[in-house]
Amino acid sequence: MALVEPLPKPEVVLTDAQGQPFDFRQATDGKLTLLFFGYTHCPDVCPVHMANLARVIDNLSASDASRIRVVFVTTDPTRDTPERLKEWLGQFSPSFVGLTGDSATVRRMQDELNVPPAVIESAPTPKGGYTVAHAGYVIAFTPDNLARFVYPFGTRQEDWARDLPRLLAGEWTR
Amino acid sequence: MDSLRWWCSAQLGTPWSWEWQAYPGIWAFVGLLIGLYFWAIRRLEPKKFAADDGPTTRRHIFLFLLGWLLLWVGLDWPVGALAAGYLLSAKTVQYLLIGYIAPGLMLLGMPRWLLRRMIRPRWVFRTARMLTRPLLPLAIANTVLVVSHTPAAINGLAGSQLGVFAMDLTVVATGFVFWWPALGRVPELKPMSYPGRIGYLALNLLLPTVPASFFTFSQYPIYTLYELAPRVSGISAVSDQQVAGLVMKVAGGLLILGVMSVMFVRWYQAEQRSEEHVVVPPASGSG
Repeated sequence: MALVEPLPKPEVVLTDAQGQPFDFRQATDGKLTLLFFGYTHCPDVCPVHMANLARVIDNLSASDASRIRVVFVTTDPTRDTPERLKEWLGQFSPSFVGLTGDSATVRRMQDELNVPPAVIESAPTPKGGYTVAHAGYVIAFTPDNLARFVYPFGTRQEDWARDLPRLLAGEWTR
Repeated sequence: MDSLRWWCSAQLGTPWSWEWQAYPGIWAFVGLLIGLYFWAIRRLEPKKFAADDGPTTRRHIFLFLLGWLLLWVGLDWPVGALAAGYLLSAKTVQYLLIGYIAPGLMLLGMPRWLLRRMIRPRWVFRTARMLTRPLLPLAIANTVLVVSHTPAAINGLAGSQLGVFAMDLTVVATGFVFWWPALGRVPELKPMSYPGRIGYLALNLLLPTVPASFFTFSQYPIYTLYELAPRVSGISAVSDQQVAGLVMKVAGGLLILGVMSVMFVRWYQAEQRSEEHVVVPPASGSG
């Protein structure tokens, strides 16, 4: 789904899975960046998006794959430590970038991208944990550092396989 | 707490849980089947039998119970629930159980007098006779196999209990149709010879290769339902699909090959018996 008005990449610095500062705009400059707000205890949407992206990127050529950054920003910083992010994302692809940060910074990032802020659900899960209500779509920043498309939950691997090469080739205006 | 569901169907977007769930519609269905069987063998069994027939044996009851149990396993939680909305591999295991193994065993578990009684009405006899010829069962079994595995059927019916119920019943009924000519239980219906039955099974060995190959070699998931379902134990949608292809090809193939081997042995034994009855004339000659 194309955004009516492309949005610029937020200028935020978060913490990556190695515990190092990650300047989102600088570190993803010129790359096709697929940004997702989610959490690692998510039972449904997050693992499906990550698994589908990992499978499709794995099938691309090495040069195309190297021009894509998948960035996962946690909406559950209490449980999603850098170690947890690394372990969880590693089961999909070691190239995926996991970021955590203070609630205010993540909230500002969401606001700048018109993403509804994530909310921790008050009702506990049967196992005593909790769920986090969050946006279920992936935001695609084309290599010119503008968010032009969102991919809702329900986007299939064959959709990604069709679109990613086009986005890399700069065909989004056609 | 989830509302009670009477038949296993996809609960879209709901994460898989290993917590047991009750499906009373399935219990009613399997309960009806076993109730009818025992009612029939206790109340309908004749006093006298044809020369090629006899009373219900323990072997009959054992085979029927085994088939019935596997049918129940295939329909109920967890196999039925996983198949309905989470794993294509579970769907394939379910298809083998309810569409092949259970109907075959249940058919073998029905004594011949019961089958004869069931086909007594004229229209049933005609239908049974028609289904003893191989072409129609071959067409029905493979059409149901293909149609029930189309994305439209799997994705479209997934969330509907009534839809999945109708499809499951169709698959079970097709299983009986599939085995009917191969087992040839009633001689007056003029079943195929053993070579004919072996050939019929061989054809059924080949055709499921087509969907199995799609599952195994497809680069991306075929079904939206299983691709977007919450993951079970971290199994990816493509790995699940590949396992489904292997199950369909290997397990399904071994099952049919096993039955073909039994047919071959029976054919050999029948030939031996007929040779024993041949009276060889004494050699004559002047030398």
